[in-house]
Amino acid sequence: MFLKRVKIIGFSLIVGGLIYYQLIKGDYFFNKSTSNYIRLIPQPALRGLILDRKGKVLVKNSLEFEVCVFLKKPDVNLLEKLGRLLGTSSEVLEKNFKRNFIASFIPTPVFQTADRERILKLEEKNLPQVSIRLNPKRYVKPSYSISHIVGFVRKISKKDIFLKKYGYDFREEIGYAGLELFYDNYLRGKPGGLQIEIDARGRINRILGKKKPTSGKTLSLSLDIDIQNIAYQSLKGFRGSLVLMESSSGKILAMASRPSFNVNLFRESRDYFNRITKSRDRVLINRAIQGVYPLGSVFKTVVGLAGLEERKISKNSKFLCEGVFKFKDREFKCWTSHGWQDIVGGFLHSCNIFFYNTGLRLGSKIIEKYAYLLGLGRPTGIDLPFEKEGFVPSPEKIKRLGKQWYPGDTLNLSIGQGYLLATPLQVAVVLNFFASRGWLIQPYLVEKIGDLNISLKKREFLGLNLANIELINKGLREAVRNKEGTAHILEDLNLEIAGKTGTAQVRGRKSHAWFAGFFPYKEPKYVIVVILENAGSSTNACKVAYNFLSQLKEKKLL
Amino acid sequence: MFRKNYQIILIVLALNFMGLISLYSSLHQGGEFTGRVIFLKQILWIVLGWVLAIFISFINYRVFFDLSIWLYFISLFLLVVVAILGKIQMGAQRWLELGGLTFQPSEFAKLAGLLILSRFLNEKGREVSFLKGFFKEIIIPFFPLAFLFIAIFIQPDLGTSLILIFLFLFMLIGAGIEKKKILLFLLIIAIFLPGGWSFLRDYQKERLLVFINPNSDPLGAGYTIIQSKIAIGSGRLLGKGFLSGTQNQLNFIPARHTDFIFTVFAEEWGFLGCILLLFLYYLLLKIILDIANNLQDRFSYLICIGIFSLFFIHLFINISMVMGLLPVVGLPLLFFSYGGTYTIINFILIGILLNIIKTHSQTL
Repeated sequence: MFLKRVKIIGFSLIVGGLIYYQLIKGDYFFNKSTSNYIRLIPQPALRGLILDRKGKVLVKNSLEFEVCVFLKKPDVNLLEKLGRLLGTSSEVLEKNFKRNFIASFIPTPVFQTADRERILKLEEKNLPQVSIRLNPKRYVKPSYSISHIVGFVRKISKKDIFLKKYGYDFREEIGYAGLELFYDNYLRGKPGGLQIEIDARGRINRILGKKKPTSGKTLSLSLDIDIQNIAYQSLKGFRGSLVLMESSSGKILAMASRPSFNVNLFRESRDYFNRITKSRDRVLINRAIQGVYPLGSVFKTVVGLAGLEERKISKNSKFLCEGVFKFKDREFKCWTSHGWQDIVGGFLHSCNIFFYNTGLRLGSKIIEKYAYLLGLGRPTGIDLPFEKEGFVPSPEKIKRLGKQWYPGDTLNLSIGQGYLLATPLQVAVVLNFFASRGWLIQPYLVEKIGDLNISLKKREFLGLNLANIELINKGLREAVRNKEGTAHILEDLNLEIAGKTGTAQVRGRKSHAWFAGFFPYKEPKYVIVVILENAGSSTNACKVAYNFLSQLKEKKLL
Repeated sequence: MFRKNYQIILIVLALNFMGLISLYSSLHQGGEFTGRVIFLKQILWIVLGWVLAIFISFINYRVFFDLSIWLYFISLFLLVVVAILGKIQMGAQRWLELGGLTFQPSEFAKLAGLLILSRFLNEKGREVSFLKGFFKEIIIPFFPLAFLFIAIFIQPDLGTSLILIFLFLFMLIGAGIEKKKILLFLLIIAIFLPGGWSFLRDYQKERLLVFINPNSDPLGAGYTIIQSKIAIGSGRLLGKGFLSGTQNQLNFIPARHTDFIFTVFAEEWGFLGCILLLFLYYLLLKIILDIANNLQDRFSYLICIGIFSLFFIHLFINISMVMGLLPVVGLPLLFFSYGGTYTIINFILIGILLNIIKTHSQTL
């Protein structure tokens, strides 16, 4: 019977199909059906706080409104309406839309604001394609004085898609500078998520699972915000930096850099960000670790120590200063004629002639060796990103740069002029070597991550002759204590400061003014470094240091 | 032989039960019963269907020999009316509204077509000449059917119009028409087929093309077939359990209470459930065919063959289509899919069948 056969064939086909779909490929289709309706919605973790050493909150998370739109293409009418309501232009919104757009069914953020009034007005309008989200927002206070140190966060953009490999989610906030970048791994925490069941239209049906986000760890800094603020204020009117470091430990108590910026405005205004990044004053630079300057007379500490260590000079060596040092056909000048000077006198008067002689006896190679040994020409290793390493010249290095090393360059190097470049923090490390009587330390900002104390930092005893160090220190102390000393105005403070001024010549512009010192002389607790760009005489640096320290004294912060 | 009667009644009751369970599940969405009215209506149709079937089982089937002409003209008339007045649904004119109830004349046309064919094929031709025989045995019976076919095709309802063609072919075979003549008929149809393509609506062409490659348009016409394959396959051996089919409950399958109801059943009851369902269908068809082959009366024999053909074609095309073995043509599943007219028509056929068994109980 033909129809019977048709029936049997038909049923066999269907059973065969069922065997194939349900038994052979059943697991495959089962997984497909599961991925059909289960979605993961990431929930961002709050970034960790940043506290100063007294526990004051420097960086926190405040709430911010994020206006999102559901659009395929920017809709001019809607964006203009939004612009009016939010107090911005539709061009800005359109730009943001284009930058943030992923897909039309995912809300595209176009504007962020903390302005409650405007948001309320917007919500009243009840626009169907607009949704408003609450987002945590990084808030830095006081922004200007610590912006350089804490840095800032930015959303990962399309350009940074490679970061996905490292566990970063698209649109997650990531540190772009400062501590936010250096400690990003600890600050960012672990995002959680909602596992939800959706229906065919993508609407949420129910929540299947929940993983709470873990907040990032809190950073506790060695920084004292009160001291930091005073440091920042003290630099008013100058471009420059001021570093106050705890001697022998390397804890940074203050690290100010001027000019500065308001990091909180970066989020709100792209124009401000562009203005800051393109500024000719290089506002974004943290001058304490990224500004490199010739050292001027401050370098004499290194040359003097090298001379004593290498026995090229001794405690009793004296050189006659007649104001001019003749070398080959050239004349190298001193400030004035100091007469016969020993090493203490050399520091007290900052006599160039003494160090020309010393440098000449040492030669550039030995000077380079000691400079490197004491921490110049290499990063200090502070826990901040993008630290500059400065430059300690030698004839070989200069030759590699395609220039020639003249014997006169060695003389310039002896008094810290010429090719030599260093950051203020490196100078602090050098001064701390003398203050701690022979220890090279690694400065740091973060003492605790969460509850974990990480302040056990690297210290290295260099094994140099203590008598030699004390001799230099005596010179440094005399430079402040003695009426003729270059930094004598600081003696007023009764802090037993020892230190060295420096006037670093800059071709075609006013000199940079340095003061670097430590106190109290016998058992130093602090190292201070001040640099003022193009401020002329080093007296200005001493005045800034004076103002700074006298305020600390007044407020009993020391 | 009354035993066959009871067998049929029991099988249809079992199918009703499984159908209602699947319908109940398909009307849930995210754990909520969203289709109470539809569910209650279907129960009403089934109860009404049984009443009608019992009633018809007491009417001698031979009245349909005379009635078939009238039913045919009523059917044709209704199809013309639906073409003029029909409510637009799903891009096609298929429905008539009578006092709040919708009525689908194309379903009625299946019954009318079956009966008119049984009448026209009743006289066994004794024509010796091939061409004269071809004309008398095939073209003349096809003539009334052709009007129904055209009226349904222009609605357009591709599925039902194809059903009529298959019904005709099956009944020709059942009537013992020479194979050569049937082949000639198929040849003529094949010549007209390319012309028919241009009569298809765009969505029908799309469905046919998507059938060849469902992934070519995964969010459009191919979406349904991909999702329904996932639903059937993900049921695996034992199924996800009653009311637990995610594809079904989360609305991934359109038309799942009508044409795609098999996916709901397959997802929730798995391979074993499907085999049980297919066994019931197979048993029903086997009984009908057995009865037909034991009948001496040609008219009742042809009716039985017609019922067998209609049932078989429906369930084969429907299940094959939801599994992606055939293009989506929009046919309901026997005793499963929601639909008043279709349910009632099937019960009328069952009623006629029961009467045939009763009338011929001595010979069966």
